Amino acid sequence: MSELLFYPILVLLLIIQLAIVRYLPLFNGTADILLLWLAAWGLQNKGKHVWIGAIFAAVLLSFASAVPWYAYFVTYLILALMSRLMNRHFWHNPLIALLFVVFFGSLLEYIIQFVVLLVQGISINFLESLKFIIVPSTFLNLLLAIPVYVIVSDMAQWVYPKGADE
Amino acid sequence: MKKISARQWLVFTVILVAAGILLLSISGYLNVIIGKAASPAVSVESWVSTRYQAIYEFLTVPRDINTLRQQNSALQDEVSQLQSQVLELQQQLNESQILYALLDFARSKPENRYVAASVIGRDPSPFLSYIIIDHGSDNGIRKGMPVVTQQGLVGKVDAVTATAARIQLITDPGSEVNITLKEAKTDGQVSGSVTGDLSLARISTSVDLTEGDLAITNGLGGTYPSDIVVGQILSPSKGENDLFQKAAVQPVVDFSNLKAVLIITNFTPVDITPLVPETSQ
Repeated sequence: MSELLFYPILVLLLIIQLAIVRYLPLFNGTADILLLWLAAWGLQNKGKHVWIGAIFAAVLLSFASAVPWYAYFVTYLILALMSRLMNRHFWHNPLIALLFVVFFGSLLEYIIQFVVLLVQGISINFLESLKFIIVPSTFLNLLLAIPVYVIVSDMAQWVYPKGADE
Repeated sequence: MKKISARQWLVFTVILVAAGILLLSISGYLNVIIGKAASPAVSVESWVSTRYQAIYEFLTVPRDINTLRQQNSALQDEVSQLQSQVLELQQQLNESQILYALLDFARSKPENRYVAASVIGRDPSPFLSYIIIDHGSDNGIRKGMPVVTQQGLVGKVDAVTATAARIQLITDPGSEVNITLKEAKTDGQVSGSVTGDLSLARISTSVDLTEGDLAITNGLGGTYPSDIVVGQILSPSKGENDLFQKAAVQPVVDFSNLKAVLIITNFTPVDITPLVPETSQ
């Protein structure tokens, strides 16, 4: 039950994403703190509820964004899968696992968005997108990954105290 | 004759001296004498008083430091409160300046009805240029309504909830605005991009484009009302084998610093999609 705390946090993160993070671009790219939060949450030993978190975050973003809803669902569910798999196989080296998940999760997110918008008939130049959005956004995500991971780890220890049943 | 006694002489002398002192005092001569006579006493008194004050302060200084610290902390609290008030007032001043500018614009075009709204966020996707405003269908905002500022065209309403709305900016890669160039007197189309730059399209190579020419909406397509400023033409170029000329457009609206917008509520957009032939879609 204590993991219910993560859901209001996701709402708060969405507000921060819309009102603050989107106003701090590198070229035209911006970080995605919901993605970072989900990646860090999935890499926790007791982060098995990250699936529900991924769906919840996708629902929130679908309401706020003009990007079609399925783009966020696909992205975040694959991200949750990646983070759980990395947690299972690289549990002894969470930093590598985190950077791996954030790097490939970010690339996946922006490439999916690019393809979805292209399919919708919006004319987007791939090289321009790569140079001004995909690479800067991925870089920002990698830059913020470790601080977010530290916060999520501290919170996970508080939410799931040692010795508590899974 | 009765002899005056020594006692009477004494009384007489005392009265005489007192009267003399009184006369000297009234005439002001006594002050000089008293001043000269009291000067050493004042010096001594001053010396004693200074030493006394020093000793008193030495003995009472710890209590005073505590008092001073309390006063200092109270003053610091007051300063921080005042600083936050100053910041709040500056923010209110900025907001009111923006609103006054919007009001001036609204008054200059009385044929339109406007709803003013604050910008509260941006679309989470960096590919898209959308903003979120704090007014929705409860305030009469409907999908497709044009959005402007005092500077020019901002975009159109894309989605509406009861209390908020999402606006597609003209810089969005999916946005296309039909315009007329004021000097060249020709129609064209301004499109957005993922980088937020505007570009001019569909201008024939036979037209002479001049840098700085103003692009204004022409109302074609029924999406936007006519005569709203979009931007200025920058660096026009035409290739030898191109059908159309290319040019960048400098938007008149500062999209990176958009705080408040006006939604034109009495403009009904026309959906011409059913009229467009399928082959051209």
